[in-house]
Amino acid sequence: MTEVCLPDLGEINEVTVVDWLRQEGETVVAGEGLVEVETEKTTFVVEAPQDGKLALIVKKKGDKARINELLARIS
Amino acid sequence: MNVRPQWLKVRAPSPKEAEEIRILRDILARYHLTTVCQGANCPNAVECWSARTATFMLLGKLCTRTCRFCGVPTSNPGGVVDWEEPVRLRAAVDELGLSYVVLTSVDRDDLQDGGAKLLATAIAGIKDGGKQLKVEALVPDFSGDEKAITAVAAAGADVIGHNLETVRRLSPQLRDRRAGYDLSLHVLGKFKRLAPASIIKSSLILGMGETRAEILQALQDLHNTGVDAVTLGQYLRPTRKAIPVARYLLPQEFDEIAQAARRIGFHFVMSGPLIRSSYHASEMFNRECAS
Repeated sequence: MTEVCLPDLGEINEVTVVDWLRQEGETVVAGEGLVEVETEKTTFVVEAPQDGKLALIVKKKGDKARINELLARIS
Repeated sequence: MNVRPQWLKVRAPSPKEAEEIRILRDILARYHLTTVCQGANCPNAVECWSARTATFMLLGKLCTRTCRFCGVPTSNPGGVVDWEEPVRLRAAVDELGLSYVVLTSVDRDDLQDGGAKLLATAIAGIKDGGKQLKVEALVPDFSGDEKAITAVAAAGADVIGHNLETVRRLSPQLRDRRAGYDLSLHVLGKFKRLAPASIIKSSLILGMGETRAEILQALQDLHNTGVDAVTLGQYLRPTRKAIPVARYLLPQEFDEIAQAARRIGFHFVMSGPLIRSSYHASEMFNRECAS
């Protein structure tokens, strides 16, 4: 199981999850967009770190997330 | 309103890029240096920082002016100047191994010279180091003060930038009351005359309610003033306190405006949704010099 955490985004401390581009149970490929998170100014696309299946979405749409917080797990 | 369009979304850093960001942040913290990337919540920070480039913001984190599109906090620093800042900047530049240094500053209306002496010292400190480093300085209007402009012009920056920011009609509404459309043009013209060897650069933020005709007029005014290089980018609201985005321009609109700018006569134009005044600044300089 691989953890997908919110990466260091420079000086940004907190983001809002705006959209999951893959749903639980779907296959994901390393490097493809997995989830969109945003600040007031910017929308970031967090990519899948490895091939696998999106096993669990931890931060749902609308949730806040901080740097290094767990967003999802890939099996 | 205004769901953010696809072309304004940026990739979050990979673990390797995140590590580069951490290293850069540590270096900046060690030298007590500030960047405009942080102050303005720049969308390109991940790309630039993971490549270990940053735009240093001198003279503190607090700006004496309040422009309605800017995310840098406003306050009165009470005349305090950190004269060691240029020394630390030079040390950080050496540690980062930069060959092209971009620096800017907050407005400092609390200082008689608007911070010109410190900026000139910082520029000269990098130029005089014997490594033939290039410096781009994006500077305030110094309230049009001749002595301050002369000091900065004489410091030897390869590129001197001052941003017009917006079109004439919106300038009084959006910029601080001490700034001004004609004042900025005046300052750019002064730099052109006093630093003829420097490339003079300016920038417009689009999507704040201006019309195409007003943009083209602003570009014509900049060209008439002697500006050599322009950048144009999409306004993105930095904080809730700033004005909302009036409109997201299409990428093809930025291309059309770039073509118009070239027809007006600019040698160098960077125009696109995520373009910022210091974005890929060294590439702009190298291309300008090669042309």
